[in-house]
Amino acid sequence: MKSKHYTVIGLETHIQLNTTKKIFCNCKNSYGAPPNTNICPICTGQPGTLPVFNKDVLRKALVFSYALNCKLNLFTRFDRKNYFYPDTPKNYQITQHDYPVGYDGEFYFYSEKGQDSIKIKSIQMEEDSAKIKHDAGDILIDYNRAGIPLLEIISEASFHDINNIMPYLEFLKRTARFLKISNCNMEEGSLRVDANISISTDKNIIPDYKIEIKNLNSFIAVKNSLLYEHDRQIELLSKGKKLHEETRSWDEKNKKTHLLRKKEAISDYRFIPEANIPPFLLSEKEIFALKSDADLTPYFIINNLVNNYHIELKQAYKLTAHKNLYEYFIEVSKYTYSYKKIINWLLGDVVFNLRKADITIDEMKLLPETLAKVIEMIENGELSGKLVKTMLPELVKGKDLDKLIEEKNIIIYSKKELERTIDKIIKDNPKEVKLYKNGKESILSFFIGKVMEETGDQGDPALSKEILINKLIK
Amino acid sequence: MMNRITFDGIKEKSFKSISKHINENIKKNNSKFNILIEKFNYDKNPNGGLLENVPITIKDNIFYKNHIASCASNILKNYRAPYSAYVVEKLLGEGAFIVGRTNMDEFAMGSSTEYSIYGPTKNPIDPKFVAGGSSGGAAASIITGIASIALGSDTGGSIRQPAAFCGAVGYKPTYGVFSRRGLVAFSSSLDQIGIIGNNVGDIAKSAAVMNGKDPHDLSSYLDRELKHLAEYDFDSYEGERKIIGVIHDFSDTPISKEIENSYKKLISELNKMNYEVVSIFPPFLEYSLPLYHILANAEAASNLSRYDGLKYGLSNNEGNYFERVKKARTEGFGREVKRRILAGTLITSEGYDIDLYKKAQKLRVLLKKNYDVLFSTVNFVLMPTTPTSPFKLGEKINDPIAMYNNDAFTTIANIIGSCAISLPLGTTSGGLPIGFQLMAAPKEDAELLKFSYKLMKDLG
Repeated sequence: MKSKHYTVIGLETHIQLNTTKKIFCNCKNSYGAPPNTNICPICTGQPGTLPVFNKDVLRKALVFSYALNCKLNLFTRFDRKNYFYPDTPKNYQITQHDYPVGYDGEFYFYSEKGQDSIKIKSIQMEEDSAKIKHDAGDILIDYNRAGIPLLEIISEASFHDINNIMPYLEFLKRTARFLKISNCNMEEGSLRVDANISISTDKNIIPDYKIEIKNLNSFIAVKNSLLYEHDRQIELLSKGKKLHEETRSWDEKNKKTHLLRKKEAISDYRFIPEANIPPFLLSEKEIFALKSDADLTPYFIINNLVNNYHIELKQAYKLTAHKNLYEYFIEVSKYTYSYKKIINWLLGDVVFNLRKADITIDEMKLLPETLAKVIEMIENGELSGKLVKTMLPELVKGKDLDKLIEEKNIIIYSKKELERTIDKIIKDNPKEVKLYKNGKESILSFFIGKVMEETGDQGDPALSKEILINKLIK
Repeated sequence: MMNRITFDGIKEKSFKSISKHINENIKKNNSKFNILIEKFNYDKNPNGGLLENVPITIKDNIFYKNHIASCASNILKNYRAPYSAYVVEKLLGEGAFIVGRTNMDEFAMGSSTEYSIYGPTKNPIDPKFVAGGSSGGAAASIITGIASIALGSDTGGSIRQPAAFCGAVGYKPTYGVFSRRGLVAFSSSLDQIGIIGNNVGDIAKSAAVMNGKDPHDLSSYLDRELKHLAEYDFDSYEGERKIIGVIHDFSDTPISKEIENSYKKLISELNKMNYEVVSIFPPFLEYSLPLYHILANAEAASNLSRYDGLKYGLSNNEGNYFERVKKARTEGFGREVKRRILAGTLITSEGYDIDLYKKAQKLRVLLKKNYDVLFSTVNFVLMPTTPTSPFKLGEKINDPIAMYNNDAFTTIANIIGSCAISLPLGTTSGGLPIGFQLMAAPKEDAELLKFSYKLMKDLG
């Protein structure tokens, strides 16, 4: 008899905050500097040094906690997590344990398909560790990363479908980017995930073990490692093996997880309060003032686009993939109310041409008002979509619209001009008019072809069709 | 007996004559008592100021840029300070100069300066006896005329106890009065830099210079009252009438007959001089020592974990990461330090006993509240600094509990974060010094120093 399996997954997501300085010293928080150049006695754990907390970290942590609907601890403090590892300069990490900034939250997120939510256990501030490089048997340590501020977002173990995890992570990333607290660049390691997974054969029984997969630094790695681990655990369980708590790593090359350490060797972190940083006593007023900084989440924006702009969820979701894209949309929408058209053009041909030209939306020279004008002209039948498609490669590079029209020798057909042209075509082709009136609707394409011929492809086919039908049935 | 260097004594003297005097005293005393680990190459400090030409020694756990600070430990034997301690910068800024670094118990863990890789410091009054610890070298440097002011650290009595054993004045300020930047951490919530000196006035003036809000130490604060003592005329102090709480019942915190008699004599003298003395029971005093050891060791285990032989200090190149760390720490730390690291690791381990560490934290909060209440009824608490007079070298080195018991009256000030000062107010029949400790509420440092000055003057 085949037994059913229930998957239980919880995620610990680390986000590097984009503060200008590190969390406990004045070193620069930046990526890509030559090894061990952004370091000082504090972040390398010299004796006699004391952490000096960068308050910007707390502000960003509170804003993010708001965005994830967490309760906020008015009394919050740092603790020390004690363990020996070469990437930990003091051999303890300053983190939060007993009183994290945020707790008991619920993160609402969208995918293309719809809405979902996941419970958040806690959000805590902590320092990043140094970066370790293994080099021909040597361990090389780069302390540039040590002391970069992190937020650790711990979800409840309430994912049951691996397919729900990507949308969660994607939306977490978008939220952090929209709130400007992190660039969440996985290639640079500014978003890293530890995943806990276990399998139960009974929906109502929580497994008595969990396997942690550490340091996953791409969405694909998260997905593939969980799929692998899911299958591996089911296979072992179906063979009647008992699983125990352990920590594993993901081997991207061989698409396998490897054992790092078993439970017996998992350290007891012996948390103690960090006495060098006085606890924070926050006032309701103080934290309430930050609430408005957490307003413009992609969740709120998508709701707004769908409900107030009547845009399809799928498109709203796409539009919020990048903050700049969304902000560009907002700019264009100041000049035209054809929201759906803006989105179609933006997500379609504009993005396509940008990608082709290898420029970002920020670098794009096409002014929002110009795009709005183009869209209005299409609406008015002054330009055809087909034509605009040929113009966009130059427009995104900053070509002036009027100049382009002049150069391309385009005659702007207003609706009136189009009507006049159509009147002439009807007059010149009485035989075809008769056929249409007798019910041969397919003859319409003949007329549209004539319009295109007359206007040199510049008349809008849709608009032409509309005018033709009106005139032909008269 | 020995020609000590007071502020008054150096006022009219040239740097040259002061340094000559110091060199003579070093020559005379250092090999005999093992006080200075290293004499620095010093010169006249070109910065004039409030402390012009004042010679200072620093304990071997306080940083003076580019000079070795080893904590009397093998693991940091050749470690050079990459920056100066905040308090050292302050003192140098007012014209003081640094004579050298003084001997101590390794990582400030001990009460006799016997746990040092450089060997014990002997009591200059009688070299058969210990100088106290962990700032034993600091206290000895004052009474042998090597410095006017000695910087030490006090986590549970390490300033006050050696000051008492050597017959000097030892001041442990309120937590935060002196920045801890550049003090090698032992127990971060208890550590304070303190001063040993010849008299209250010299200490007060130095404290005024050393105090300040250091942006690099979040627990530090500016004490305006203390700052005023830089140029205060102590003889003009009247003050309103102060109430001194004293202990009459020592059944929970036993002390030697000799200390008890001396304490009683002191109280009767105070009564005679019309001081207002009331009898009190310092709340939970008998719990303070075990509580202190739980807190201090837990924090020490964490603070000392950074010494792994990878980044600095004693290093080796054997085996994998854990083997290297193990070797560096095995060879780098002495017995007492290891004992405390192990104890601290044990009590914070998950599932150990009854959450001893968490309970200790709660008890600490309770103690603070109780002493707040006590200090709303008395201004000062007068206690013996130590339960016994100085003991002999080697006497307690293999009996850690007896050694720890030295701190029975001193740890309470660290636990509640208040200020206390040990004053040399008695001698044993054998001529060894006895110290008595005046403790005040947190942030009452200026009052404590003013009152101590008056008390010393009145008692002659």
